[in-house]
Amino acid sequence: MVLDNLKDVWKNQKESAINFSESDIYKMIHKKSTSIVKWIFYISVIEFLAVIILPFIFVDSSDVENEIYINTMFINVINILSYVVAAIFIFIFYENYKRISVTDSSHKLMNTIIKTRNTVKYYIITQLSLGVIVLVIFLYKISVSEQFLSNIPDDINKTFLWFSVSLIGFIVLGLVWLFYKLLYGILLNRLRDNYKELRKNE
Amino acid sequence: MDKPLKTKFVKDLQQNQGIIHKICRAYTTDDAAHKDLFQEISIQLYKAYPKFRGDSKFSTWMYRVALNTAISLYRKSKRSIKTGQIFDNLKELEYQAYDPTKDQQLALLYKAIQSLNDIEKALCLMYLDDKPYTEIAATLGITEVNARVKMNRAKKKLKNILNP
Repeated sequence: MVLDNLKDVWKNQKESAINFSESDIYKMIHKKSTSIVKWIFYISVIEFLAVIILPFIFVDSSDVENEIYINTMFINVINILSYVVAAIFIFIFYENYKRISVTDSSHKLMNTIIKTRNTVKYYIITQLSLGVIVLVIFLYKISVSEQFLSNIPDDINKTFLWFSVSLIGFIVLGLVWLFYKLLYGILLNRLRDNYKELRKNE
Repeated sequence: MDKPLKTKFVKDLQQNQGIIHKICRAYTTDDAAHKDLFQEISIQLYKAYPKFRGDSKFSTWMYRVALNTAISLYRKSKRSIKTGQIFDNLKELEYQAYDPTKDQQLALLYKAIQSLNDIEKALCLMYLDDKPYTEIAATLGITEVNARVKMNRAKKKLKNILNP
């Protein structure tokens, strides 16, 4: 085949099978945020599933009960509460995603971006508050548990023990906070950049 | 961007979208990737539009921005097309008929272009669209002499793929 002959073929090629209307294009140039909001939704679902599945793999709950001397009632309440909270947030994330997918004006898009950012913020605050509550109650419960106290050898300094247990607890929470910051922080920064861009273009 | 300007941009883009589709087809191998690239090019054009002064035609400016977007995205993703598959398809097409129809020839041409690297693709597209060397050089940010040298190599490579 000679290249010059192919020029004719090239120039006479039909319109592409894909053809976008003006409204398609209008939406396209505003839709960078959709995929980010979609990822926020996906990540929240994955996180939720991980929280449900992981305890089954690693911990036998009856063991935990015996070891930390805390009644099941307390654990169950906290468990259910955290599932409910997670489910509510997943629902809101999904709503945000749906809303952003059908948005066609940049003004509405900006609103949804702000809303999504706020939802993520509240989500992190709620999860961490739950963590702090669990930790505090846990510390209190073992401090009043006769069974537990009687098991501590006499040569261990009690104050030091409480101090290190609380410290470890808060370090773990700090790590969770860092994990959230990193995971959602990247996505939220991108959303913020898009928001700024949209405002500039308005 | 104010509203009338935005409306004008969308209208111009809609009317000239054929240019972008050609570039998308050269740089991607499936519909989903084609649409993604189209959207990315649209966003880049939209961002750059306030700086477009109208010194050149809209379509010329668009061609340049679109091609550069495709090149830079292609570089980032470094996704490679399986050349073996293309050559198999080429042989298949050749066996089918001595005088392939225009559609088949076009499909063959696209397949061959898809197997080139990012810059060679751009060169071949601009060659087929009869772009002058001044424009080719400006689009790729190289000198005209360099553009000619590169063009000859790219054409030779394309010819070799088409006539194995």
